[in-house]
Amino acid sequence: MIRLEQVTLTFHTKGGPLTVLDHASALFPRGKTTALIGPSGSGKTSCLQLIAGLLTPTSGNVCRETVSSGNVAHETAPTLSYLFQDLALLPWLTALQNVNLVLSDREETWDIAKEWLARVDLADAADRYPSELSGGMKQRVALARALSTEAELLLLDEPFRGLDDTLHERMRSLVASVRKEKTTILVSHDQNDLTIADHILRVEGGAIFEV
Amino acid sequence: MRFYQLRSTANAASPANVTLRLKNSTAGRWIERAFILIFWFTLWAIAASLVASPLLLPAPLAVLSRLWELFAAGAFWHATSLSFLRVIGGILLGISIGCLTAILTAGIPFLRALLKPMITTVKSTPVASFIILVNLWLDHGILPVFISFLMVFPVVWANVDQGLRAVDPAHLALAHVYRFPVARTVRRIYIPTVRPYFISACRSSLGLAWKAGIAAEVLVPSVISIGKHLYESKLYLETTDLFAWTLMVILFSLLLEALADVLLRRLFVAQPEQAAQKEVTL
Repeated sequence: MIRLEQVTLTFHTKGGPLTVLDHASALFPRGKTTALIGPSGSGKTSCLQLIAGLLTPTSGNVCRETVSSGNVAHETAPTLSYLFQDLALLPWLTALQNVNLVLSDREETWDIAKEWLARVDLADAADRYPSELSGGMKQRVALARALSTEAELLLLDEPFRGLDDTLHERMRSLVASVRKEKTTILVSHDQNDLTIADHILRVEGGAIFEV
Repeated sequence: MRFYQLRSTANAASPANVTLRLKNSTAGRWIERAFILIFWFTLWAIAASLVASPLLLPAPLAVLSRLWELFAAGAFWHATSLSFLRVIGGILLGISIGCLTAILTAGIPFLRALLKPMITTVKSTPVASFIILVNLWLDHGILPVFISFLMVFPVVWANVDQGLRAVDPAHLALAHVYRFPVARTVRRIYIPTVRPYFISACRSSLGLAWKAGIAAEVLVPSVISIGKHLYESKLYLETTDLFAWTLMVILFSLLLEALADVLLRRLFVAQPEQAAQKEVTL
């Protein structure tokens, strides 16, 4: 279970302080899929970053399982997997190396990485660098990387962006098949993606509402 | 680029033809280089015959003949290897301390601000001023080492520091989320990002370090060195010797750069460059 308790998040920009979340609270049930929707710039990605421990709330708490603090506790093994909005693929690594990087970065997990690339229809692109892939292919490499780990918490920030309708549908089915045993939080602008969510939260005006 | 040319040509021709073209193009480059070398040596020979005074401008054949004589002499190799070792020592010291300082300044911005005036002063001060000044403080044998170090250190520091600050925050976020061990973060994120900055620093400072090291030996010619021989050539008006030693300095500079290129290529697998050279075909 993940809880945001009265979380305020303020960025200090050149134009002055910008409050993205203002005493917002939300609950993300364990083992369920939660979709985060809302207009652009409303704070959906910030919510994911707070949960991932990449941002610290200005005030309030982010509680993940038994861990409760402004910062998510640091453990030795990854407990979450994150598909970043900007993908964060390393340009000097091949598609296969990018996926394997989050597994062990050793040869012993190459087969798992290859299998995941095959599941996103990129078996033939394993040895290609990100600069040699189209936008949709990069998106699928990032998706394979996020889904390949056994982490309990899965954060997906616009996971199907840049995919055509057929691929979009297939990748959505893939996520639906994987999410069963995981706590999944999905950010999407596509209404069809909400069908795989158990419940939906809307982020708007600094608050988070149950839809 | 060659990779792309090979691929695009391969679409239109047989593999045998592609190989032949590649060989022809390599041979063509060597012929071009030989022509350029012969052109400038001929120009030098013409100028020498017009001047008609070996004291002012010796003929290229006389210089090459003198260089050959020097090659055969034990003193030549003694002086050259000592000069080479001193400069290499200074370069390695500059690279090591430059990298360590960059790691510190990338993490502590105040330290960067503190060191910047000193580094700017070092970069702007004429080498001769440093040689004369440092000659008062250090042993003559160490002086060329220190001067070579001074040529390399600021460049390596500035470039590596810039490279470390250019690390993509998204990649660091990835390392944080997936809890990469420090070694993996360094090997997979920091080193590949800093690599082009480091290589650029090495390439631009090595030649400079070699020339400055020799200049230090010329201005303080009390140790066995190439600089001492250059100084004596000037002192005894042995212009042919001066040219022969200068040619030697140029040859060793090229050797040093080639050696650095090989080492850098071996140290860092050039994956990003390979990727950039490949043509995207989607």
